[in-house]
Amino acid sequence: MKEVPYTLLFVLTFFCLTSVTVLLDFIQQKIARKYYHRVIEESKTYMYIHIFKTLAEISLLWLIVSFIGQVWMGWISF
Amino acid sequence: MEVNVRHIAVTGVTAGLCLPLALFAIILIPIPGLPAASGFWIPAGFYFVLTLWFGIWGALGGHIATTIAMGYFFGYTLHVWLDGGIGDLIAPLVCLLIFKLTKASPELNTKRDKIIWAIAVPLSSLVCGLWVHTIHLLFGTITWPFWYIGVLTYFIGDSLAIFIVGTPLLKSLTSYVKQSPMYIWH
Repeated sequence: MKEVPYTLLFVLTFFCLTSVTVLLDFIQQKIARKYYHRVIEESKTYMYIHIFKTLAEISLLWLIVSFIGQVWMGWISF
Repeated sequence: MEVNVRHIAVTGVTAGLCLPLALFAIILIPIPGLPAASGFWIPAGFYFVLTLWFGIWGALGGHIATTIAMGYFFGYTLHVWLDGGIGDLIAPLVCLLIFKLTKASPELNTKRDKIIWAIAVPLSSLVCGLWVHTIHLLFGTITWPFWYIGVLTYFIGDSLAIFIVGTPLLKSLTSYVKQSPMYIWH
């Protein structure tokens, strides 16, 4: 059986956990939508944090996809 | 025009978010023969949305990000990265202008808003593609056949990314952003 290189294993584990965290956060946002609205009414700063955190999470997912794409195309090898 | 720390922060964070996206969009889906072009221009999905929310400050963030991505990291000539960067500044502003003229809402709640979004995005991408590649052509950076490919790439690549990323962002986050004093549709 072919061994998985340690760097690849570490990176993929990190990516899996990041994806799970982001997805759980999206689910949490959906469930707690009305509470978010309430907090945002009290604090505008929270609103900016919430918006840019969501945008950053989507960026993270894209970077993971682009990394896997580059491995797939052979531009990054282990 | 009022400028405060919030405006600069929005521009800065937008630039910070779009920069890695622009960089890896060019690396991952390059278009051979066209400098700094990508078949899936994902940062546009972000800066279009931020421009519809925060006006010029969002557009400026996208412009700074794409200019740095094309210039600093790829080492293209000043002409190439300025041309591309200005194209990426014009595109979201064209979309914003269409929304302003038609009095559409970025929340995309009504059928009319959705239709305007569906028309404004490809139109803005086309304007961007025409601007960038006509300037390239006039400066002799590309030749005629690549002008068509370039315009088509921008038209499809930008529109696709904006629809895929921008639409859910507008639908899900505009209701929060509406409460910001920076939201331009008050």
